Amino acid sequence: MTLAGLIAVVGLLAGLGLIAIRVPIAFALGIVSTFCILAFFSISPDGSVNLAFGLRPALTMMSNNIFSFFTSFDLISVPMFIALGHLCLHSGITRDIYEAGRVWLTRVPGGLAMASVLGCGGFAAISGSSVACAATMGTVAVPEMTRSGYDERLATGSVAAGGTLGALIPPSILFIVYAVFTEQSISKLFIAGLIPGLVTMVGYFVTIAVWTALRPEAAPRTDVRYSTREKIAALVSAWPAVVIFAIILVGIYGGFFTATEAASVSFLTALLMSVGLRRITARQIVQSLYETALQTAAIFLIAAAAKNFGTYVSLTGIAASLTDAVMASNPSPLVILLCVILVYLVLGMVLDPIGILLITLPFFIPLMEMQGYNLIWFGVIVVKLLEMGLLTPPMGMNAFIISSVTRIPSGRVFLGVVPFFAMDLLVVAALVAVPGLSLLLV
Amino acid sequence: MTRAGIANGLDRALSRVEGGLLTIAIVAIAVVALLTVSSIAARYGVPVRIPDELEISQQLLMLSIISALGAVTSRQSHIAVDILHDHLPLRARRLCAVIASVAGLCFLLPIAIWAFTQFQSSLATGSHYGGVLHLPEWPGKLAFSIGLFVVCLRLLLLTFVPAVPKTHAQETAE
Repeated sequence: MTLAGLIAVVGLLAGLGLIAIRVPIAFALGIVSTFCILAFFSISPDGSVNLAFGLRPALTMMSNNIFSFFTSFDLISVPMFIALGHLCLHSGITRDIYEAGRVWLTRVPGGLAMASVLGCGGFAAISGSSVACAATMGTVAVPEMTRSGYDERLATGSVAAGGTLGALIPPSILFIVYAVFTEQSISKLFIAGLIPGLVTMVGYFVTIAVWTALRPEAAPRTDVRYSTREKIAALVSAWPAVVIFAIILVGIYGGFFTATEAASVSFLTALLMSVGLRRITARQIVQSLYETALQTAAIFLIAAAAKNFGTYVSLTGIAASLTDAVMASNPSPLVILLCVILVYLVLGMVLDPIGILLITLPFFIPLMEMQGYNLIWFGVIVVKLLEMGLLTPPMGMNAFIISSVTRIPSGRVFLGVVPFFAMDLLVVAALVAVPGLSLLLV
Repeated sequence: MTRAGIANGLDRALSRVEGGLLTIAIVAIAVVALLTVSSIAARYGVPVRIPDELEISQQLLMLSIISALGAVTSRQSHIAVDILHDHLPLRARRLCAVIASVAGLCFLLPIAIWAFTQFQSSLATGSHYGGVLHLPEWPGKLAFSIGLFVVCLRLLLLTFVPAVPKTHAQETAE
């Protein structure tokens, strides 16, 4: 192993150690990349070290990297979509989808759980946050299901799993970050995620249907009936959410504007609708913007630190060496892909999705390109795997959030998640086997 | 004045600065949204084109991020993983909090200082972004270094007066 490779491995391990003791991911990646880049510029080919010599180029590179990343035009969509999510959360637009689903599916076996998946999918897609979805829907949908006699595992599992749909259904912050780091089209990734998102949703419906067929007592039938008038009213009340989806999808797919522009348009439309319908107060608007600014800054600092680490990986050619080493053993492309999937599943158990994405991309993207894999297709698989990490112990955030808001022990929530996770594995297998699921609309 | 008194005074002063910067951040986000929509409108024939709106949007994005970073740090809203932390005794968790602050300082302080020198250089040379308005580079670089210095000040304070993050169990209990 070269000295540069050794520094990178030691640095990465040190970074993971820091992350494990709750050093913020941005700081851990930042300090690791600082030392790695400084070492790169300070160590001469003959092995002598001159820190004073390396300091200037290292600082120039890191500072310029962060500044140019913070002024990247493509990333303007990140705060806009986050703001859209917070606005819709405060105005209740995201809940309307669940309410419509609840009214329409109430007579179907497991209907409330299906409505939760539908509501969570819509909620998380608009809000862009699986965790916010779990927190909100955990307080709304889970108590309603348990009151109706649903098994706690089914109730919590369906909401935890439903929240993960948001990253695949546009808009998705993970897709934007992936696109910027891999130089892919955000619009294409958004469109590519649509069918896999819908397939996952159908998969969750099937899971619930099988669960309730095998154990009917897990989801007792309800006596509540809604008239056609009530059903139509519930459907109509979800129109703001439909308008927002339409703006994003039709706007991008129809070529009316770019993904970045769609973010701003959908945010301002949501603002106008919320104010026009008197569903939000001035205080809530300001609160939404405050939350947006905080969340955006936290995400960007991680991404900027990871960009510095990625720069170090590029400078030293470690990724190329890794790719060559892998290729030398002549494995089949499928084996490589399965190994990558395994890495994401394992990392998902302990790390945050954005952190995983940014740490791994500098290594995996050259490998995937070398194999000739389509990076849009690979992006869909990666984002799907990252969201699955929100369900797996010991760090399954969605499960913990639902446990904390419902007071149902996390062990029961994790048990409830198992069938949905199994379905996720099937969906990943389908995405790998049938690339058309991701690339059909691209 | 006692050490705690000084720390409290610094904390209050810094909180005010962070609050002001956070307000700048949200205004910047709102203006970026309006600029983007105005550029779309201009494309479809509405006479609202703002010159160099792309460059202005990019600078405002940077302003919104850098201005909010101090508040993110003081509220401990940075994304972190609790996998081991929650199982550690209070003393060890306090040590972890100090390590986190020192790591942040080692990462951001050199960049803040370097960014300030780049601001000085931009001011001296009068460099600009071109375009119609010839927007100068120095305001963005000044904002960048100020934002980073505010974060560093907060981290310095947290190094000497560590704020131990709550465990998952404590948050749940609340």
